[in-house]
Amino acid sequence: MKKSILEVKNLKKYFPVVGGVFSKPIAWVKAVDDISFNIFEGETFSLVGESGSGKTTTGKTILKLLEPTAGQIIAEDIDITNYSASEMRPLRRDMQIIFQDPYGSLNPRLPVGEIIREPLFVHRVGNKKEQEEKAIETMKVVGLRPEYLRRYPHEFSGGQRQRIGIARAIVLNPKFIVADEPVSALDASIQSQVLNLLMDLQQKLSLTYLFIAHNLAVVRHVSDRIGVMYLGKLMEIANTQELFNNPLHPYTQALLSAIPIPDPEIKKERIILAGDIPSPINPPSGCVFRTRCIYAKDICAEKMPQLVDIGSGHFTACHFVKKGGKTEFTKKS
Amino acid sequence: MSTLRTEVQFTESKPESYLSRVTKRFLKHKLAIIGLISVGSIVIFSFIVPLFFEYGSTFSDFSYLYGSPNSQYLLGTDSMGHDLFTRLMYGGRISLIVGFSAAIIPAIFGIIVGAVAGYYGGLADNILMRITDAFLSVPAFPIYMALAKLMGQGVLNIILVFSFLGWMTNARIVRGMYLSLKENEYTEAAKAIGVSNARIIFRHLLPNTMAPILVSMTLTVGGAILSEAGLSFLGLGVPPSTPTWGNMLTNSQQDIFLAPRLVIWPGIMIFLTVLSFNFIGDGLRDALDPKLYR
Amino acid sequence: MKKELLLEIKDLKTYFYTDTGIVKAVDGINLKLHKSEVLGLVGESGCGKSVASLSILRLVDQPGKNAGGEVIFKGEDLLKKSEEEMRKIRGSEIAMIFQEPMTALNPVYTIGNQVMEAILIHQDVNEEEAKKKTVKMLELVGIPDPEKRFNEYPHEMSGGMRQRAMIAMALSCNPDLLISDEATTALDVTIQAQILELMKDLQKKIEAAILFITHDLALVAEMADTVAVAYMGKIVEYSSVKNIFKDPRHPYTYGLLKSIPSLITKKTKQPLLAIEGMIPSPHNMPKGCYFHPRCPFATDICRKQMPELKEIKPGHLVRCFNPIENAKEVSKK
Repeated sequence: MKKSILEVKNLKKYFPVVGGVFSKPIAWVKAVDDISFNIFEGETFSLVGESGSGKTTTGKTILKLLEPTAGQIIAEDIDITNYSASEMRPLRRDMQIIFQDPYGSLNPRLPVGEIIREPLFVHRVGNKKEQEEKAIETMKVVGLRPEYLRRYPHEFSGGQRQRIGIARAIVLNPKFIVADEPVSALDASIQSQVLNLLMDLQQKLSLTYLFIAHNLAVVRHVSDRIGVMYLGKLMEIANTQELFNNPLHPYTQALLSAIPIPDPEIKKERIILAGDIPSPINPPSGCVFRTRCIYAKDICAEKMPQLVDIGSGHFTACHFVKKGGKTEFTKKS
Repeated sequence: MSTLRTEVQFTESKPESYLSRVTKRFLKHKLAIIGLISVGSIVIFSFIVPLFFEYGSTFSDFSYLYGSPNSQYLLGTDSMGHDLFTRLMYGGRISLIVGFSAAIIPAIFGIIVGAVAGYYGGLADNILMRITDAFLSVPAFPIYMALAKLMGQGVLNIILVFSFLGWMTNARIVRGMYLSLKENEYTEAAKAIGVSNARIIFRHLLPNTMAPILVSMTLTVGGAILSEAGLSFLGLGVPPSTPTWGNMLTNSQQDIFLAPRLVIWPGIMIFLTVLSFNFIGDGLRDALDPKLYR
Repeated sequence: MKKELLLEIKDLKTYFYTDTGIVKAVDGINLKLHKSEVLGLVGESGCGKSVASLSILRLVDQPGKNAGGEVIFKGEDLLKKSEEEMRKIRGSEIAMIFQEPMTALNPVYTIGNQVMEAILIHQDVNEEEAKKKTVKMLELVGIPDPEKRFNEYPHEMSGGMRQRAMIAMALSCNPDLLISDEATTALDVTIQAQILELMKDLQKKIEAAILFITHDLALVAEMADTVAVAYMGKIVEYSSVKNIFKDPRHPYTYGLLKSIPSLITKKTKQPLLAIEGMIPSPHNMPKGCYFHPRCPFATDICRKQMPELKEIKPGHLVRCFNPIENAKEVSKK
């Protein structure tokens, strides 16, 4: 059995919607609503979903950048759920994050060398000279010329900025990195460079990734296992091959069929989901997907299906998917 | 593998730091340059030129009261026989010192209050901002009068009073900026690294708030010089023995028809200085405006 | 089948006269669009695709200016028309849908009012008829409960619904040409599938030609009949959708196709073929072919001279001195 590097148990993250004269919460955005999963050492575990699915919130809550509302986060046998900022500090050496926005995630007033050196300074690794040497070495590793040490972020293109962000994340030799939509802001020809870099670094530094993305083709390319999220819930978890070859949850099926394919000769039958993603403030009762599901029945409105293992690590949360992967779908009349 | 070989080139061929971009844009602003030259000249006039002059600020020639300008007294003398030119130079010293101090000290205080309130939010924010509101609701003028009476008159007291009542605007500007800056991804990135709050506030975020603070400070210099002139004019400012442009005006008010130049020259100096600082402020605002660049 | 020519763009140039120099955003583009044809214009950021579409409608803002060329629409050059005549064409004969419908819709008027206004401006109908037509249009684009939705404001609708409203507005005057500029980019993939389906469906119904602008090659494969690939303000390859995807000749097109992960690639967790380097700065364009610094096939002539857009086989135009002869063989290398 592979070693679990991170375990999430029944994690919830609600954001208050404040209103009224006294700024009291009048409702809650259920961004992440009771999800559980494991991430094993050395793998890339991906969370995919559309906007509002809670995938980014999950990633940030795991790193305690957001305080969890309920549940447990266990990093290498340590329960960090209630760790304070100062208790978290030493652990941050091992847990890092790469952000989506290569423009917003770099401080415009700090030169690149300082941005990359900052983690070493904060964790008091070596003296100033050693820190600068390490920063230069890391710049080389991510494909940036060390001469650019004193330049400011605005002088770099999107792809280069993302490399700076990656350098900052790996400079402390972490074990685990949350990559939050690391390529979605980049042009196609730059995207592949950064994806290659991330995969290359994983090999070299034996990293474990939590990869968060909305682009299923990208996710398929980089992941070992994938979790599909919808409205704050996990709908399905499976190995990459298994998920794409044998999607069992109706949402996963629709999601896969919605992806456009760059081949004019493949004309596929689409499952077009009706309607919009409901608001996470007031999600549907029972199964959150039922309002758009073509197979929904009465039971779906009454009971939220649990995420169950239907065999060999394939988890699905649907009333009509049984053990062994047998499905009992019938269309609504 | 192919990525690691990737040669990374620059979008711009020459390096250009933030400072050089700002400088470049500032230099395009003609009025600001005029302002800068004029402030520079006034500083030299007030601080350097007196070193080469024979008379001190208290020198007076009782044989030449209300004297017209001549080769000895370039702008003539006043009712006490003081050389107007010399008095203008020494007056400039006080006015500028008051102006700069009244800009810098409250700015520092305002930054600290605003940064803590904006960054931490919640209770800290509430308490600090209510205190700020309270200070803003205090009518400044009676306080000036009371404090002047209480602490006596003098340059230091003027600076203290201005600092005491001048930090709130800065605090509000800075608080507003920190409220939005703390939501930035790079703040989150710093937290993810494990950077302490104090370091985030002062090392990561403070440089990002400097632009509006600098603009506000520049405009405050002019404002403080004007206020000092106003207070001195009312006899609440610096006592007449120490010349300032403000009390030079006061002391000459009864001579306005007898020797108008005694009023006109300090007036021109105040006008020029305040106008110049406002031009510089406008230039800085345009040069630093983050909306103009990424 | 020979179709009637609707739009012909001849050597169109749009330059931006900035403080730091002239940026040739659109640098001599030639395009032909026949009646009820879908032309995909694809490229990365900075390739000039959006500026080209705005240039057709003469909506380029300062400091951008037309610097030559012709835009012949139904036999008449739009660049020679008066502003008054252009206003009549915009929104009636040529309509446009944008990436972010929120900025294109006025937040203080209801959706119904805005669609109705478009109808009232361009058609000789009274208010009652216009309202009826508006409701019909909203229904046509799949907005449920159109009579109720008529009175909703843009912010009350979801992204998908807003984009539908934009389409209703664009199609309300039966345009001959619809320009879609990244119309689905901001949408989630299941919503994107809905909108694409709707556009295909409506295109058949009303027989409008579509200029489909996107950065996503997969979308082009789904939507377009003909494809133009743009790079740094120039068309580098122009052919039928089948040729572009099955027999790409320009190294840039080839690289783009190979660099995007897709559901049809077999290998995953492998390095992607990446186009090296990055898009040059418009202020510092390379000499010769703009693509040569990133091109693995570049020779001396590429560094000195800009190649012409040449027909290398019937209906397949390529701007390259060393076009790829056989895509299959290259991929083995």
